[in-house]
Amino acid sequence: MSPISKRTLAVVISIVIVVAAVGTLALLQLPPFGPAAPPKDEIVIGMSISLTGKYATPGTFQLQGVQLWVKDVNADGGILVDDYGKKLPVRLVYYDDKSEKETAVRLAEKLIDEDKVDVLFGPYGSALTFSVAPIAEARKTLMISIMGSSDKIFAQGYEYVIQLLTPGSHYLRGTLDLVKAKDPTATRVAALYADDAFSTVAGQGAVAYAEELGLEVVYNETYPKDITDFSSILISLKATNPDVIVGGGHYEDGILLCRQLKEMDVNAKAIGILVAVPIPAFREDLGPDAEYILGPSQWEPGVQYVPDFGPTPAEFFSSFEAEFGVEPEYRAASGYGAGLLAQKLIVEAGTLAGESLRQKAGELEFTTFWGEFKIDPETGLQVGHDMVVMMWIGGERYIVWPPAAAETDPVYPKPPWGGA
Amino acid sequence: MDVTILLQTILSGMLQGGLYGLIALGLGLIWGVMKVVNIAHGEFLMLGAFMTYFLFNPFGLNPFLSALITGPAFFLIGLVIYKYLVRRTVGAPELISLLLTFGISIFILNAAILAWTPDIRAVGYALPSVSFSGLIVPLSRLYAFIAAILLTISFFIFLSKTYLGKAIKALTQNYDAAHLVGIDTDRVSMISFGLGLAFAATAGSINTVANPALTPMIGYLYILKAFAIVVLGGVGKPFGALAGGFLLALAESLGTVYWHAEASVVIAFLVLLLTLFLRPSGLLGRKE
Repeated sequence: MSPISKRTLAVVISIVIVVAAVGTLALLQLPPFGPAAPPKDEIVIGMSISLTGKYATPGTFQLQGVQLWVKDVNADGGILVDDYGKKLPVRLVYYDDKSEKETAVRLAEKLIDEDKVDVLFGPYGSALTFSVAPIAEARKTLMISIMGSSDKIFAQGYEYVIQLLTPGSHYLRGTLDLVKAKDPTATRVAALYADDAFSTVAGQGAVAYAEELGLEVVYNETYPKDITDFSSILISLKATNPDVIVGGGHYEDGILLCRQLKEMDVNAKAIGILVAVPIPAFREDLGPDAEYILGPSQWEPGVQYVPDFGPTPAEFFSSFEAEFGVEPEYRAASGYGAGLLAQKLIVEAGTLAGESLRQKAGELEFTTFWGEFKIDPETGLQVGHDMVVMMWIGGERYIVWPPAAAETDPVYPKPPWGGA
Repeated sequence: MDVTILLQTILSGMLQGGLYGLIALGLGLIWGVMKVVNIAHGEFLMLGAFMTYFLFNPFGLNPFLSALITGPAFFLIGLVIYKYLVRRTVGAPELISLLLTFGISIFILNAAILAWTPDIRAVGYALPSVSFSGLIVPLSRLYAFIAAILLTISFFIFLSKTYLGKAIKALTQNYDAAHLVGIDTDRVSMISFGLGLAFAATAGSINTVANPALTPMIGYLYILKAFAIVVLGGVGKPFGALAGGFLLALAESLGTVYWHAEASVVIAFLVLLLTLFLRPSGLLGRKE
């Protein structure tokens, strides 16, 4: 056996020293306790969404909005995650919940437990969102409620559910803000709203907000949601001589209410009606009487928001139309808006851990094409996003409030009804 | 108490009452003649409203005029439905005809949803209001009211002056006796059923003037009220539906103004219970 040459020995010793040094450094890099972050090459977003059943139409819009965001963000190389020191592409996993609560719950469990999604996107509508929220909560997975407007979802003490939409109780705030800003002499508010869950929350929210603004609530009543005649109710309402009338419910009673406000010659400086006003049929069905009535909407293509993150409203509109061949409505915009929210949270938090994302959500305030984002850090309730207020003027539909979104000035005070 | 408000409340109640009477007229006729409670009455009203919508939308046909089309059309449809379906249940226990018309109701409702989707449509026909000495009269409701009164009066004259009308009255009073004295009860029943459906569709047409929104589901808004009105007024009396309609609508409007907007339904059915207690055969029904 020949003795080991000095040269060989030197090489071996060098290798040992290098390995030891690197090993030591590597050990020092590891966190003292707990496992290392598992290697990850993508961000997984999960959503149970209604593609069949009664929510199929809005559900499809919501999905398309999310899909467009995924496409845009991946075209940009993905989202930078500090934990991994690189951009990770986004993969969307979605299943059809058939507009059924039971299915939505089962799919949410599957998405979190089997597909290991990093962020869960909420399904369509308050009812399904309400059912799915506890699943995300129990697994400490951040859930962005995309189309759940109900305040009740955020009164359950959930820590991992955050809201994107303006909550139902704030729907009529814009109308009151508008009046307050335009006319300090308009102080008498009449609230008349349907007795279903959604309209009651919106109506009571308006009453509470009116009082907060120092206005006098002179009339506050509900009506049966299947109402076929408002005449007698309007006799009582008219007798209170209001400056502002807010309320309504859904489309059928909305147009009946407007029609009968005219028939009974009930005039006010501002009339704000839930749901019906932004719908194009409202103008066709009521004709010129539809004009100058105020109506809230979550989002409209013409919003003038100047985003500090993501595309402008016009860019979103044209890219959505190019991708799907139809104009986006608010339910598509909310899908894209939810994507931007997830993106912003991941970038700012630098991690995919649900707890950190949720904490960051409570701290952030920013504006996208969808509008402002700011939640109550405790409950996750949306408090930053404003409803836009719509008005038909000369046969065209305009955003008239808030000033940050408005296309034109509202006609104020509302001209009296003609004909009576 | 403000007199203008009281008068306006009564006026609004009367106008709505005429409409209610029209809505219940056909239900009371069929019920009276052949003891069949037509649960599908609301669905036929809905079909009349849809026909009016489709005549209004491309052609701009006035809803009052379209009643002249929907009425005869549903008279013929009524004859066919009687001949092939309802006839088998006349004379059978009332539960059987109830089941049949309930089935027809479900069928029409779902066929309508399939054909037209549950989307909300509206007949964009509006008339101005007129006011005199502080009282406001919406012309659309006034014309609907006049149409209801005219229709009821013509129906009353038809019943008293024509052989067929008298035969219908005879069947209402005693089906078996009418049969014994040689009235073709089957033919008279068939015509009554046709008339009942014609009234339902006419009511549907005219109602679009007062309440423009329609979906395939609107039938259920009216069937319960129509039922209550018939019971209130007295089954099988031509003016019964109108009387019941006035009573119900006045109770609703007074309750709404002087108590609570949500009180109308409570008061309406309280009136129904009271009537059943005090006059079981209705306002215009014979005392038993």
